[in-house]
Amino acid sequence: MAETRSQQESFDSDRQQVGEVYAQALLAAASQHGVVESSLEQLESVCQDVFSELPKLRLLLDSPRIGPADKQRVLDKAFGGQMETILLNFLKVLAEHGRLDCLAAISAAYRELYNESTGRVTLQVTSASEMDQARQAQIAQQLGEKMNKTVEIELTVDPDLIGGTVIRDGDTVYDGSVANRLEQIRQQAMQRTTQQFQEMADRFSTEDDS
Amino acid sequence: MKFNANEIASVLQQEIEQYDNQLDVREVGTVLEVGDGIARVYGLSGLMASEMVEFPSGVQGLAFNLEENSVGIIILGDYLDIKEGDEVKALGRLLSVPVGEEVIGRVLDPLGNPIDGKGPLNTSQRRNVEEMAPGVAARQPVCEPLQTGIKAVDAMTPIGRGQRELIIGDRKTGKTAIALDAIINQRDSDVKCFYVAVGQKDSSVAGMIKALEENGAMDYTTVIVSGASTPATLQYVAPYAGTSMAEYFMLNGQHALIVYDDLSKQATAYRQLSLLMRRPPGREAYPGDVFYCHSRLLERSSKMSEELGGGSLTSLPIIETLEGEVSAYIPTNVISITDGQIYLQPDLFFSGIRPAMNAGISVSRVGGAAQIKAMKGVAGGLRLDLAAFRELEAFAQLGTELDAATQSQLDRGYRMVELLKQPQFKPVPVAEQVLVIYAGTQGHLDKVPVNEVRQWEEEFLQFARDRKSDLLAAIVSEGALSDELESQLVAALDEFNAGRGNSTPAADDAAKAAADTAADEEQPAAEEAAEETAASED
Repeated sequence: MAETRSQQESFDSDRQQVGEVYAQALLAAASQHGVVESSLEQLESVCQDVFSELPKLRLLLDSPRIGPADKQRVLDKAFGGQMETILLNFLKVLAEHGRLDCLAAISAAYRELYNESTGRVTLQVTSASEMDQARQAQIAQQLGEKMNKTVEIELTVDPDLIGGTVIRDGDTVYDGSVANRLEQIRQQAMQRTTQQFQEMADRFSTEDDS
Repeated sequence: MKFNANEIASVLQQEIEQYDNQLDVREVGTVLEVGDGIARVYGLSGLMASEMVEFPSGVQGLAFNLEENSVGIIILGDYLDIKEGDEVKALGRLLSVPVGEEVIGRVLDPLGNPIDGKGPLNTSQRRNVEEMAPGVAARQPVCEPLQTGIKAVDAMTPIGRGQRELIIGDRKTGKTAIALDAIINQRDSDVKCFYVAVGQKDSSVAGMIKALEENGAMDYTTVIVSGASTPATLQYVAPYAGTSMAEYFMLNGQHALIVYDDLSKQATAYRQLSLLMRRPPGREAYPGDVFYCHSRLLERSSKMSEELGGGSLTSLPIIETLEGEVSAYIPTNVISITDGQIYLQPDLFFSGIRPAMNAGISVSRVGGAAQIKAMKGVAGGLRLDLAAFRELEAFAQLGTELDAATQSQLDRGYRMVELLKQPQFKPVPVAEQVLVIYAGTQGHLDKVPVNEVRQWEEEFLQFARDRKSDLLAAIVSEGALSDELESQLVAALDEFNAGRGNSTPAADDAAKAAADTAADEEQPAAEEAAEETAASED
């Protein structure tokens, strides 16, 4: 949970917009060469594994002070031969356009486009206690049947929920947690109680008088 | 006071038993940034325009900007508790306020919460703050007068029920006073009043509420306060909230009057929100839709057709100008939206002419339809005469010799100006207004010294109330000044003037001298002459 929060905190709507455009282009190019899945996997691994190990590489690629030619040379040296040519070319185009700083947004948008085109959906599931793989798979399967999609689950554990699960699909939250239900009961009870007090206000005032 | 623990427990038990196990489905987003009264939220992709959202602290907000990747929210309340990364929940409804008879006599904030310490509002009815104005088929032309009790307004710029009459002027020129008098004068009518204070000092609002209470006007008035210290969001929402409460009466076939004091502050609040939302600034940095902001508000004032109950909502928007600049952006906008304006001038105000209304540029586009026939008859040409008098007066100050006709026009002008002066919180019933304006325009005051005019008026009205109450009643019941009534009125005036001694030759001359000096020289000379007159009368 905390991790997704921090990712969203550094969210930039302009970069996301740029990312969507490039991701569409990449998807189109990759599907022509039939390398959609491998390029997606490689792009995500560049963003997550490589950049977390080598933050300096990211800084170098992000920096506007380093020219596109130098960046392309670095890309060639780093990924040449191991990476799908299409993806490497794509990164070079990004370097040319000075958009390598949008790589994270592009990767996210690419994943989303890929999921959409293949009928997959990733749901964030929060539960009060740890869940074993079998249980997760069961939930994923049940949700998948309901939604007519292949469901992947990102599980987080939050003991504050007390019990039950919260499932998040994009912007929609299906909240079946005990904490939420208790909160609702609390609010309704408060409302009802104040209402009752208001109705009984007359009686209290007469008692005061007498 | 004793609380019964069993009762509370039983409520809780009931609650738990009735609670059905339903999944809570909600649309959420995440706060990206929070600023002065606004927040930008990522997510909430299904949010609708003006839909309400809730922050974790319980503070609510309104969707203001719907962009491709984020949503701009204006926060209705304390924004200091909202943090980056907070989950925002869409509520699936629009902003609404409580409406009904229960709001009458209360002081509320723009969200309808009572702030007068008189307990909660016991009304279950609510109405959306943003409602569409009634369409063409639902309306009828303005035809009934709304009496403000202010002689200058009722005679020269009459206001009809369902009309929008702008009150415009510099600071401290008596704009609020006119609106307050109009509210106080509804004491004996069936008009419910609403006063929306936007961006004003809380001290002046408190003073105003006290004045309304002292004059017995709070029995039928609701005050909606968003003071200078409340967030700009609430200042922006307040006029719409007040209008919704007033519309309730209009739609139920009743009559309502709403005062927006003032709309220039609302425009400023709207400009602040728009600039924070990075909407492109236009003239004077106001956003492009500030005209629509006011036009959709004022369009909601209307006179409903008979089939729909014939209710009405009259509005008196107030605009504060800077240094008399009516051609600034907001004043021109609101002037063009409203059905006329009452223009108040500081120089008139400081020379003792109160209400300080400039007759030349104050108009009412509804005109005679908003007056009873009797008033229409006696005050028809008054506004233009007064405007002509003002020009003549400026010319006469050059010290040129004037012919007799011009001099008499000037003399009558001075008396009319004097007659239209009126202290605050002293509304005059329409029948009495007809009497004095008739006397003034028909020359029955020509022999009264200028500085005695107000005393004459007071005494004459007392005389009319005591001795000619049937005449006053006849004017009210007939609505028009028939030939018979007119002759009765002339007889009454003659009787009063004779009794007062204004027609004696000695007083005649003295009065004339007084008037002449008043016209030619400074005020003190006229006062001396008038004192002599008074002495000679005694």
